Amino acid sequence: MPIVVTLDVMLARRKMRSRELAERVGITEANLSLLKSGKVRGVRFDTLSRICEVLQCQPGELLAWEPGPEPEGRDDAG
Amino acid sequence: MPDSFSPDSLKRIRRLAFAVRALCLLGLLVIGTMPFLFWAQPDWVAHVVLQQWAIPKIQLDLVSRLGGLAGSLLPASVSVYALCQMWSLFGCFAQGELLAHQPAGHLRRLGVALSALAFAQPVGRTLSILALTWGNPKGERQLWVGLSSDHYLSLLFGLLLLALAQVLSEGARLAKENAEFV
Repeated sequence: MPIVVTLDVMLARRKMRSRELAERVGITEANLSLLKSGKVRGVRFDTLSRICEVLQCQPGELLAWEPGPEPEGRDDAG
Repeated sequence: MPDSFSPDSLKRIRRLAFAVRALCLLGLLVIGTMPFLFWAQPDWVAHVVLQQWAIPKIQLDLVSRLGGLAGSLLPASVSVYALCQMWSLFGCFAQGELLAHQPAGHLRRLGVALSALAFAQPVGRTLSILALTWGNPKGERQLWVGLSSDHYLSLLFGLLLLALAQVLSEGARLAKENAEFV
């Protein structure tokens, strides 16, 4: 998976639960769980912005790129 | 269900779906029974054929009327199929399934049915009239072929629905993709 979401690491650093983050960002816990596991096609900038605001971090601290095969369904976008 | 549809909008769609499905039931009842009732009554057949189809001499025996019934069942069965698709389409809408592949499929089949109806109606009438005049003496049998603006509009409307079904299908694909973004 080339793009890895490291949101759980940041949550641990901030000692914040997923439920609280989901409430403060304004998304469902289910969607946050999908985001944490990287099972989403993408993240909207406004969602990313709110997450960064709540966690007081930069987008680069939540996402990382790792070499590897592209997951199915991502290469047909755009 | 996409978030972009407001509860008020969904409520209106559900009300409309209820009304359309009630009309579909009525249509199915009428179209499903009317040909049998019509062809079972020789007087009624004679009146319609003479007054509306302007055919002076016909045979009204059982075999001729069965032939007429067979001819009229062609457009009737296409109409019943179209109504079934309409019923299913608005069933999807009533359940809030709007931008999805299933209603797009029903809409596409409805478009195909309406386009087919544009051909089934004149062919059905041709067959019915042929059946009613087949028993006439030689020279008095009729092969009637006729097209009207109704058939033209049915074809155009069917093709329009086919195009809209393609648009709905594309909308469903985009909605699914959008739902995969957080």
